[in-house]
Amino acid sequence: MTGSNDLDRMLASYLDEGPRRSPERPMDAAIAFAAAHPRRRDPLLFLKSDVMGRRGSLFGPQLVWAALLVALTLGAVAAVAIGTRPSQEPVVPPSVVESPSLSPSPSVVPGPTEFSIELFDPNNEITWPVTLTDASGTLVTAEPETQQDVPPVDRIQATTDQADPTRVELVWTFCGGPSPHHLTIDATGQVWRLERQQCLDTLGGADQRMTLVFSGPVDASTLDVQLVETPG
Amino acid sequence: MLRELVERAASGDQEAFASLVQVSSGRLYAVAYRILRDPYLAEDALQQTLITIWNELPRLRDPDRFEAWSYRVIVRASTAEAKRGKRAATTLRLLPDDADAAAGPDEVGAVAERDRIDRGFKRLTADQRAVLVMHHYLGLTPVDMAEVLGIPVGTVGSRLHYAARALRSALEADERATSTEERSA
Repeated sequence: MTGSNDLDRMLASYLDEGPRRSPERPMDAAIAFAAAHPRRRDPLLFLKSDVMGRRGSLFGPQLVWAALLVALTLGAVAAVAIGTRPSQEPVVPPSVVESPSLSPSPSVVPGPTEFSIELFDPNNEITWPVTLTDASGTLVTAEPETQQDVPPVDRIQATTDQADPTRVELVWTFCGGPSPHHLTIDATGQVWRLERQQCLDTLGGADQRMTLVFSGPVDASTLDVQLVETPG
Repeated sequence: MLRELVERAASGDQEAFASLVQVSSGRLYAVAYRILRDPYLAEDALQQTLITIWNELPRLRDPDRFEAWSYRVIVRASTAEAKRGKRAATTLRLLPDDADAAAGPDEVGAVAERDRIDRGFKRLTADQRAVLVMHHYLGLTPVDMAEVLGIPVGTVGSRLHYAARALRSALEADERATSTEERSA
């Protein structure tokens, strides 16, 4: 057996080996790229999110500006409506337009969408029903994938398709028995929770996988993806 | 100094960007190499990272967070590079023919231990290797790692836990295989 302290020591020593200086090639290539692509001032930079900000943050500049735009539009509509009223009516002061709230309005939060698909394991000739509940309103469809003969993942893993960032492949560890699965995506789109019954026995098989297609790009590396096993 | 370089590079100063590349590439390459264990893939990951830095730097609101952000970019580029698997990541460790005879028992044991952990480490996923490198090589705390990766601290904790567990399993499987070989020899 390898103890925890032994493992830490071996790992630290192992990782301490190796280069600490970069070869010239990538540095030269990047500097040449910068020279070939001089940066121009971006007038819309203030609308773009901070690269170190959390995706979907309620305090992102886009949302603030969108809220401000909505407030201005409402203000303009209110002003026009008041301006076109018959003159004999008492003049009503324009209603105060509240400063834009950073909390999402319930009316713009889409209701949860339900999907249902079936996964098939050709080796054991078993199908698994998978239901999906998406509270973020961004999931377009879900597609079952064929099991592949590749090294297994550690419990569960989501990966964005490099060629099409709206597609995310979800892979999770095999568990024998065709128990139903349920995937829940929360309103922020950031927390994915796949539930299945506790894995009591296994028939042996490759990881299970499906592809989720979203209405916009999804960076799977920022997601909080959980595999939850419920008592059988 | 670094802050000034970041600010100048963000505003389009190519000289400042070249200095930033010189200052940062060593530590970024070291991280990529340790995740990928392949010098060519690590070079590709570094090049992609430096280009991303040039393209996206104006969107970094706080220049003091440059280091954390650059680690985030190199980790993402490295895991993407690992998944693409453009080249077979085979690294041969050559020992002299008489290594066992020439080296003392301690040295032989150290080499065997290092090779064992090398085999185990390479069996981990790129995401698992990335968290172990950030924790054991860069010495980042789970809170720092959460900022670098842009994920909750709890998720960092579970990734570290599963990565260590997977490595331990790989080492134990390796140990069992070696014992079986020795018995049958």
